Amino acid sequence: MYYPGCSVKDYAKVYEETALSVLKLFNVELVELDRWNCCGVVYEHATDAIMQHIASLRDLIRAQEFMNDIGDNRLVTLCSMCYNTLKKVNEIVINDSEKLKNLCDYMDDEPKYNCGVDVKYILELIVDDSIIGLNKISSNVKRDLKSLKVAPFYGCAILRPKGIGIDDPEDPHILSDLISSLGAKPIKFPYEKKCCGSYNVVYDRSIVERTVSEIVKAASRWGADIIITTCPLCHYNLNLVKSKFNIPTIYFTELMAYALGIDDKIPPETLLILRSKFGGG
Amino acid sequence: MFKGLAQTVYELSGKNPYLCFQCGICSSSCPMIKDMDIPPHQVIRMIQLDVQEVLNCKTIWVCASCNTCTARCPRDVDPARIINVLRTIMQRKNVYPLDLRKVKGLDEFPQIALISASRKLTG
Repeated sequence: MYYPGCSVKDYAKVYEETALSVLKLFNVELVELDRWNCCGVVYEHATDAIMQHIASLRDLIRAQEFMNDIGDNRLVTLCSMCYNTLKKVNEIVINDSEKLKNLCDYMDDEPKYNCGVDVKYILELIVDDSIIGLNKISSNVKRDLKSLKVAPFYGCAILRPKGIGIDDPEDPHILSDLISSLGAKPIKFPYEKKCCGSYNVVYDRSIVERTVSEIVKAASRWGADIIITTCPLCHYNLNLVKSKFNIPTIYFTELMAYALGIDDKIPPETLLILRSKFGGG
Repeated sequence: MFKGLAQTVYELSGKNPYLCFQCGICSSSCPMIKDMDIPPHQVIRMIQLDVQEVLNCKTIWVCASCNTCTARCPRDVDPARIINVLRTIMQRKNVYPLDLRKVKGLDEFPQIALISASRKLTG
């Protein structure tokens, strides 16, 4: 099952298009939920504010209804913030039956949630050998990217907190492994897991400009040609300073599509960037 | 169990602020520290000492809940959660820093920025 979320349907449309076409190449089909709503992004920390979990729980219930139709309980997201929120709320209601009961009682027009949905991030599918796996990806690479130096930028939402993150929060490697399997050179730089400033961009742009400048400058000092990311908000924030350091940020699926030769889904500006960074093509 | 602010924080977060022994790893890891007025470890100290003024600091709004401090805290104090709870206390008093009506160029932001900003920075 596939939960898109708002950004992937508009701001990050290219992320969705490239991701779905890459998965299709490996015969993995994501079936979009027939109904979904906002994930209620940024899960609530206050223990008594269970109202804030309603949006996410409603999505999980939609997935529960849908999973019997397609016979699979995995709910995959592309947006890392949606992943973080849905996974956390799923964990909260699984571990706290009283909260789940209160929420279900409140939403009495909805079926009861029986905690059977498994929230997954798209990268987990890509690196899982039983689904795609990095070996299968390397053997399908159509372009020689070995001169391309790519800095992975993980962002917060897929690494932290513990239990939610899909990789080591201090020393992540999932994106570097992916870059290597595509034949490009991964850059290990110190700010790969630093926060980009997130929604502070709406509140005070200068805060985010400072943090992303530090990140992109470090990537530039470590010799990166481009940065790849997993999160639409990191993508927006990091690209605020792309011209300052001449390092654009693209979604990891755009790089995958390029390496695998699925050019028709890649937006012309990304193609132009990749070709200029990487002669020929 | 506790008194004053520490008790409120404990009830709302489920985390014990007195476990903090001021090692400062939260503040040294924090990517937002340059824009904060009080570093995170001092916020926790002020809660321990029941200094109510901590609720008026800029730090609680600038924190982006990136959870770096939480991942590194050796005492499992969960500073990100505690700071977020201070924010919640203020939001429930109808005090918050962002008025979306005054933000220019709203339609240029990705949806995710607007939704998370309205959840975290408005009432």
